[in-house]
Amino acid sequence: MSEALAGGCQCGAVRFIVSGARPPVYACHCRECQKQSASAFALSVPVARDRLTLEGETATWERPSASGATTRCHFCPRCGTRLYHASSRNAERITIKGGAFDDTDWIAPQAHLWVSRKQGWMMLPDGAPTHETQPDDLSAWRDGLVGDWR
Amino acid sequence: MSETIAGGCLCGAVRYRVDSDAMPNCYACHCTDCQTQSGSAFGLQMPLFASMLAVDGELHKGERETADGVAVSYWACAKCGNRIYAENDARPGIVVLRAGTLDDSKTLVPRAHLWVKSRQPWITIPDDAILYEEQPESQGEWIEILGLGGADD
Repeated sequence: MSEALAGGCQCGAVRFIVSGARPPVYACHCRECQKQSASAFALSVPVARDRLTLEGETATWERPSASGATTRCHFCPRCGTRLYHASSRNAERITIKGGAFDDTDWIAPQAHLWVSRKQGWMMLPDGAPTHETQPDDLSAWRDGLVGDWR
Repeated sequence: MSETIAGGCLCGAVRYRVDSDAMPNCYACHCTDCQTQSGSAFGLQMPLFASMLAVDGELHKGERETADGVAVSYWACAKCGNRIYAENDARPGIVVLRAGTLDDSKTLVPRAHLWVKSRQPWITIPDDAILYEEQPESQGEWIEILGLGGADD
């Protein structure tokens, strides 16, 4: 698949397009991701920053990550929908929120992180790779996912 | 003795407490709005009487209208943007807490699943949950699926 993937926030003030092939998708069930999504897990879609074209301004909030890097979180200043994250550790790559795409039918996480925090009712697909916490080298792990983020 | 049911936003600027002896019921909504707002696969919603929710910290208020013309107000942390709860004109006196913001969110089990017709295909819904292709039509159905105000066991 090489058609552009479109998405945006809930109120429509921020819209985006991701060029190129479908990128990887993974789920994270950690407590922070449950809080941020206000749901059961986060869906993360890593892509190269230059594949993202944004229309509309985002507001940002920064937080330190467990590994000592800084994560800059971009959200719609009007409706608050979180759209993507950028880490100080990797200037080339961002992580888009999976639910922010207009069409989410293609979204199927190929791996699940922090299943030690998973809500008990959530059944994961048979054979999906899981991690009790997260891989030691998250960046290298992302490189190994099916579907190229670059 | 009941334990305190508490939660808050990601950055900690907003904290809240839910006045209830047992964890109230919640439901998952798989509509595309909830997918966008959560950035994930569904919203986890916990309706409460407004008097049950006590919030500390600065909130940003937003407003929007649903597809069928209901005015919705929602409150998010003014600093990190984390959505905390919403209210709508159709159900005065009820607030809908975004349940994933609870500190003890690991124990949540949605009693019902709404808008199943737009769920992401990889999601498996447990057999004992109540399913709606779209959403309940009457207040009575809402009350039945939610047992509003406390767990109904």
